[in-house]
Amino acid sequence: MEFFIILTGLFNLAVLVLIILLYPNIWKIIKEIKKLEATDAKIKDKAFLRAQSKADKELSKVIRAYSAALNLETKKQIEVISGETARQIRDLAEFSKEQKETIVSQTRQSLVDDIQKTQKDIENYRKVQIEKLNNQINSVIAEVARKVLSKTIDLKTHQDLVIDALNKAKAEKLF
Amino acid sequence: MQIVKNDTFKLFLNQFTTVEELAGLIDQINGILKFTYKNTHLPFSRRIRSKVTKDLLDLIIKIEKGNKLPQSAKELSDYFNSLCDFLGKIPKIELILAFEPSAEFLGKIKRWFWENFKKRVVFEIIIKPEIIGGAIIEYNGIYRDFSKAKDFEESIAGLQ
Repeated sequence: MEFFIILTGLFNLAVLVLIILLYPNIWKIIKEIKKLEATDAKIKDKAFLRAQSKADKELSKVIRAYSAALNLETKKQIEVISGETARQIRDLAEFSKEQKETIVSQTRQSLVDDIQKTQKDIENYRKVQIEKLNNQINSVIAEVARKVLSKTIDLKTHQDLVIDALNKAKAEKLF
Repeated sequence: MQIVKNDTFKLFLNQFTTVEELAGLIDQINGILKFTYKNTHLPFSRRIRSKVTKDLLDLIIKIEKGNKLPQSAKELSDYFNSLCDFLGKIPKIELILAFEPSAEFLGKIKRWFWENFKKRVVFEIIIKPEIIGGAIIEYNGIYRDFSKAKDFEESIAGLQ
């Protein structure tokens, strides 16, 4: 047992000595590794920046190309729309002109019709009023005439006319 | 008693010709109704002497003398009430005439009705000179125009 403990202690001691002896080299290696890692990071950054720059350039190219195409298409569309709009404005102007002429024509005809209708109404009203007046005059004349006639008939004739009326009523079975 | 009443009722028909005269007669009869129960020891004609026209009084005296007027107050009252009912049912004829008819002429028309229809009637006379002559007659709600105004209108229409 003691031997084993001594052996383990010796082994630990040997390892310790070995570490002490190798430490400068290990330190050197670690430094080299760190240095390499730093260099690698720099290279990566550079590569990333380069790739980014390249991508930016490519993207710019694409955007420019797209923009140019878009501009061209927009210009074309504007030209088409402008042409169409101009045509529609011309058509609208033409239509408006025709409509204006039609409206003026219709209004003129309507006015003429209204005037003719009004003239006809006035004429009819005048006729009706004259007829009414005539009827009233006739009615008054007739009433006066009837009263005058009534006075001109003597009593005997009046009485005979009443008896005649009664006989007619009898014949018509009124009673 | 009913027969006696009817017999005497007819005597009253000579008391009127027009609706106005009939209304006056009915008013007088209604007026003397209260005397049927007053002074019953006196003859009825004496009780109403100053209350009715001479013609009506003479008629009642005549009926009384013929012993055809009921004696008791109640019978007398019933008699006059029945008389009013009888008179109220006499047929009315409306006559529109162009002139004011005399009582004599109305009597003639009344006779004409009796002779032709055996009907007692009462006349409502309306004067309208504008009918010229003849008559417009209404009976039982039916009008007939037998006026000369109708002929006149037709003549005027013919001229137009």
